[in-house]
Amino acid sequence: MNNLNGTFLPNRNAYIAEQEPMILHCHHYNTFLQASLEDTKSYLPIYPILIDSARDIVYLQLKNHFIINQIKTINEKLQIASDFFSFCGFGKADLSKLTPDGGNIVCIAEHYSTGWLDKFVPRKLDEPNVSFFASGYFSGAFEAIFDKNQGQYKTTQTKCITKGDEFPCFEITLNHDILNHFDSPQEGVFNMFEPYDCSKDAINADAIKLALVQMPIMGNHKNGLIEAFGVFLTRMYANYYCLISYRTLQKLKEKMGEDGVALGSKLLTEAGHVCAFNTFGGIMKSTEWSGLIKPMIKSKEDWVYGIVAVVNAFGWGQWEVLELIPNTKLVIKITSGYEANSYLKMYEKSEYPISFLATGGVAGIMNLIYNGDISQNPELNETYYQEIQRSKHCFESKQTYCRAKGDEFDIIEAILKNQ
Amino acid sequence: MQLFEVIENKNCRKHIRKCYTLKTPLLPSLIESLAEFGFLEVQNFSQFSPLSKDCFKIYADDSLYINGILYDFQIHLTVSLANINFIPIFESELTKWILLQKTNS
Repeated sequence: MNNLNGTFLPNRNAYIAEQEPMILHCHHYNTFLQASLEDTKSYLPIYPILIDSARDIVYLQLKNHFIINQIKTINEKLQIASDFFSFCGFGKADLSKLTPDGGNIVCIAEHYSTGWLDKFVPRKLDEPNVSFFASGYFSGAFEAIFDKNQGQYKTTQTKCITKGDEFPCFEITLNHDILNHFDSPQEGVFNMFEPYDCSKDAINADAIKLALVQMPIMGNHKNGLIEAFGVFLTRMYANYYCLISYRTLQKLKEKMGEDGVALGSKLLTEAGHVCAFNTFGGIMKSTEWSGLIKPMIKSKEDWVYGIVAVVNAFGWGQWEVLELIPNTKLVIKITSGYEANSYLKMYEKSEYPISFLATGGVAGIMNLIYNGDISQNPELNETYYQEIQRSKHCFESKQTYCRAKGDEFDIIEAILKNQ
Repeated sequence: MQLFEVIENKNCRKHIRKCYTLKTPLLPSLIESLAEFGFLEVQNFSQFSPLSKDCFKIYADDSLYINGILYDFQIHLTVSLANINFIPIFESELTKWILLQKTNS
């Protein structure tokens, strides 16, 4: 069978599966970002954004995959959609019983459901169910499998484990409403970079990247979830983050003008900071870090170089330390960052910086290493996060160069908040 | 005679996590004997950098997870609350292996 897995491109630090960039992110970021966007529900149509963004991407990706690989049988198409869902750590769903009229899906597990319960309290019964991404995935997959147009299937989540149900369940039906749909920005406007020989550096970034890229990071056979580095990981569509973030930002701007942009930027940057705290922190506490990277570390600064080397295996583009002043400042240059790649294709140009995940992430690195002290193996919980946030040594960051604004690359600077 | 020290992480709601510190390094023979409890996965990090060390994990569904670094002195065990009966089985296997090392030396 022509499995859809993808390939890592080392001159872009991008992982491409049928023209869609896939990037590693954990359940802390996924659920926190979703929760942040859901906070706008009283004044924005946020739920269609969360569902339709997934549908738009999955539809185009699977449709292309079926055409390019000449996959014609429905059973094979259903299997590929199901396998890719599990491979990426989205969960495990049996799609084999479905027909062109739709049907019901019972998931053994689903990433956002499990992730939400791990991170937050159960959802209230009068709230919508949690699995917006999966709902969009199934609609888009069905439209591609049964050769329909975008918007011709509707997926409704009928059971939700965050409300006490045993399994996440979904119903797919033919849709007769007229829905807006967009094409995925796919690989976007990307750059390539010239690799340099880092074999003489204390931290051998090339070795770290190679080792991580070859690791079998994929959903396990039982539930399709990826448990690694103390978190639930996903190989998520870069464009899903970009579509839900930038579509929400556009809506906020339409509704509230510049205040909306400021509010949205703050929410999205904080999601990046939370991501860094949990994902980078989890990685720096992991056995893999102790085996692969810790033996190379000679100073506290090497922790920064080590985690930047790890980021370069995540599919986020090329991160490079331009300046590091211990306890004081970190400047990171990003080439072909996934946020700018996608934004440039979608909107061509921005008036304000848009690399929110990276901006939060760079501050997060400094806060983990110089504000808290990750080398002392602290428990990464909400109490510790708040402690770091309240500390007078807390770092914050800003984007000083932005490719979406016309610069050649992105630059993020993290400095002490009270400086 | 105490063959290993144990520290339990009490911060997890769903699992019990224990870290065992041995006086002898974790040799491949220990990993092979523990592999009977689940799927063994070894990350050969040393092939990418001479400084790096190989890691291993042994897992069975979501009820059991054993991991560590080859030739290091610490091994970690994570079991779900429904599988706490596995802890004495694991410790017995560990004890048996340590005593065998002593006998052999």
